[in-house]
Amino acid sequence: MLDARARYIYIRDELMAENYFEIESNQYVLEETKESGKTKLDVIVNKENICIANFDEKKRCGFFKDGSTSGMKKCSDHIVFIRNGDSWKICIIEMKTTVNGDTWRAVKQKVRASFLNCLAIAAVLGLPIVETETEVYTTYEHEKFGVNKPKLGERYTDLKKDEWDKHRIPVHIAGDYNNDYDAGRIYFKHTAYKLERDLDTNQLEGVLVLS
Amino acid sequence: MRTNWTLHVEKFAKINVAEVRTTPLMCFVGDNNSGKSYLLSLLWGILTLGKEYFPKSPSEAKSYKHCENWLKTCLGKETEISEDVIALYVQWYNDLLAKNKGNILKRIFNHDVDAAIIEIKNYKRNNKLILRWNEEGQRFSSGSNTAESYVKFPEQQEYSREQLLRMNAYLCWYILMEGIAAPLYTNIIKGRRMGEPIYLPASRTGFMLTYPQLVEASIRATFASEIAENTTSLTLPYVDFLQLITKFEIKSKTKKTDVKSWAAEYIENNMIKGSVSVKKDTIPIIRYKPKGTEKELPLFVSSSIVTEISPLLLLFKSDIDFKSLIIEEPEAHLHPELQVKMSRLIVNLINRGIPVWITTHSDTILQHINNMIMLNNNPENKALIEKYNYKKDDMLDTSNVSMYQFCQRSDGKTDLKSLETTEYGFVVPTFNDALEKITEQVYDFQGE
Repeated sequence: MLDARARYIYIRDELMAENYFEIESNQYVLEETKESGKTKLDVIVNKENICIANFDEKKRCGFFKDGSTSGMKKCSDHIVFIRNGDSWKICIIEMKTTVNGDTWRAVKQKVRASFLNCLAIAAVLGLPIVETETEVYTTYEHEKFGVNKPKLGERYTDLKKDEWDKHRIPVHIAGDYNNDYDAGRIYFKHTAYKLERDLDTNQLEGVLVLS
Repeated sequence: MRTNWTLHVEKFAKINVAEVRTTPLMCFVGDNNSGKSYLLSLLWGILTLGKEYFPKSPSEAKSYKHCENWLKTCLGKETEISEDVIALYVQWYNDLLAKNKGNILKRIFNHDVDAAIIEIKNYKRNNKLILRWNEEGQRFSSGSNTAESYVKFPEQQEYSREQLLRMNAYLCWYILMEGIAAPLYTNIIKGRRMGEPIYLPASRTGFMLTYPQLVEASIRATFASEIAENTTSLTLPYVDFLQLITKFEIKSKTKKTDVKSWAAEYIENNMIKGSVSVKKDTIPIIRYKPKGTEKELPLFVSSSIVTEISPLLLLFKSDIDFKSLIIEEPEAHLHPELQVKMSRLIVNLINRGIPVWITTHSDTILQHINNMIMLNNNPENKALIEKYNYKKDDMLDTSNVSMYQFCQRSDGKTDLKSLETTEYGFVVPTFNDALEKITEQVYDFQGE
C-alpha cells in the first residue's frame, strides 16, 4: 500500500510545476504586490501544511469554464492546506484594501473557484479534505458595505448582516432547489482580518496564525 | 374585482400573440417600443368604446339569437345566470369585436393598426350573477356585493325585440365590464360618461405645460362614432386625456373617508408638498401652491414633480367618476423615494376598489409591489406593519396582481410573457438582467 505522505511529496516535488508550492515551513510571508492593494502578511502555521502563494497567478485546473461570466476565471490570492490528524483542511486567503458589496461578491466567486481547484489539487496529492472545515480569511483596511439593489422576485441577502458580520461565506455549488437559497450553498467559516497600514512602506501589514 | 377575463390578441401592431388577464393591478414591463402602450390603449379602447358596437337593431346573428332566446325563457323570473349562459354573451361580444375591430382600432389609434384576432376568453367571476325584475320603473339597474351581483330590468307584459336587444346589450356589457368600466346607458355629466376608465399617458408634464394650446386644437375631437372627427394627430387615449384636463375643478364636498379624498390628501402631503388649484375659465388655469406659502405658481415655473403628478391629483380632487385607472410610467420624473410613494398610492387604490393598470420601467415601483406581497404573506406581518408604519391597505394579495413582460424577438415582433411569482414576489427578467449586466461592469471596471 502506498504511503500517503510519500505520494504527495513525490507528486509535489516531481510532477507539479516548478515552485507551485512554497517550501514547507511554519512561517510564510504572503503578499499582494499590486500597487492599489499592497499587503504583506506573515502567516504562521504550526502544523504540517502545504502553501500555494499567489494562487491566482498560477496554472490551475484547465477543465473549468474560463469565460469572465463563469466565475471560475479568477481565484483567491493564497492557499494553505493544513493537516489535522488524518484529514486536511483548506484555508483560502484573500487580500483586499476595501471590502464592499461588489468586492465581497467577487471574493465569493474567487473562493468558490479556489475551493473547487483545491479539491482537484488535493485529489491529485491524495489529501483527504474535510470540505466543511474550509476556512476563508479576508484581510482588509476599509469595510464599506453599502446598500445593494435586490433583484426582483429573488431572495435578497444583506451581505454585511447575513455574511460578513456572521463570520461566514456562502459558496454556491449547487442549484437553488425549490427556490431554497441555502439548498445550493455551502457555508465556510470566514475571518475578516483588519490590517494596519505601515506609513513607511505604505502597505498593509499583519500577522495571521493558522491552526 | 368581481370578474376577470383574458384579452387575447394576435398579430396586433408589433405584438405577435398576447394574453393578458384583467386583475386589479396589472403591470406591463419591457423594452421601449415593444407594444406596452399599444396594448394598454387597446384595453382602454375596449372599455371605453366597446359599448358602442352593440347593434342598433335586433340582429339575426347566431350568437345574438342564443342570447335573445335565453333571455326570453327567463322574462319576469329571478334567475341565476349560469356559466354556460355567460359564455353565450361572451361569444356574442367576441363576434361584435371581430366584426368591428378595424373600426375600433382606427378610432383608438387614429391610424391604421391591424389585429388578426381580438377576443375575450377565460371569463371568471367570484360571485353569483342574478337577473332580477322590477315591477315598477323603467330603468335598467345593476349592483353588487361580495356574495352576488345583479342586473335588474323592468317587468312588463311583453317585450319587443328592440327592448330585448337593449336588455341583452346592457347585460352583456355588465357581464364583461362590471367594476372596470361604466355600465351601458350611464349618464354623461359634463362631457364624461360616469365610470369611464381614465388613461394618463406618458409625457404628462409636456401635456400639462402645453394643454391650453393642445386643448384648443383637440376640443373638436370627441367620442362621436365618426372616425373623421378625431382631427388631431394624437391617439384617442391622449385626446381623452386632454379633454379630461378641461374637466378639472376643485370639489370641496368630498367625504373625508372617500378613496379619492384620501388619495388627494396623500399626494398633497407626501408627494408634491403643497396643493393645486384650478381656476375655471374656457380652459382651466392650474396653479401650484407650495406648503407654507400663500403664493400660487403657474405650472410652467413649478417643479416637474408637480406637473407630472397634478393630473392624478386633480383627477381625485375633481371628484371625476371613474371605475379604473390606466397610468403610463407612473414613475416618470420621480425620485426613487417618491416612486415608492407612488407605488404605495397605487396599491392603496387597488385595495380600495379602483383597478390600476400601468406600464413601467421602474424596478423601484415593482420592488415595492413585491415587498407588499411579501409583507402580506409574512406570518410576522403585524409587527412589521407597525415597525414600518404600514396599514392593512398597503399590503397586496398576489392574486390581485399580474405582470407581463414584452419580449422583443429578432424579427422585431413582440411576444408577451406572463411573469411568475416566487415567495419573494414577481420575477422580472428584463430588470434583473439589466441589473446583472451593470453589476458585471462594476466588477470588471473597478479592478482589484
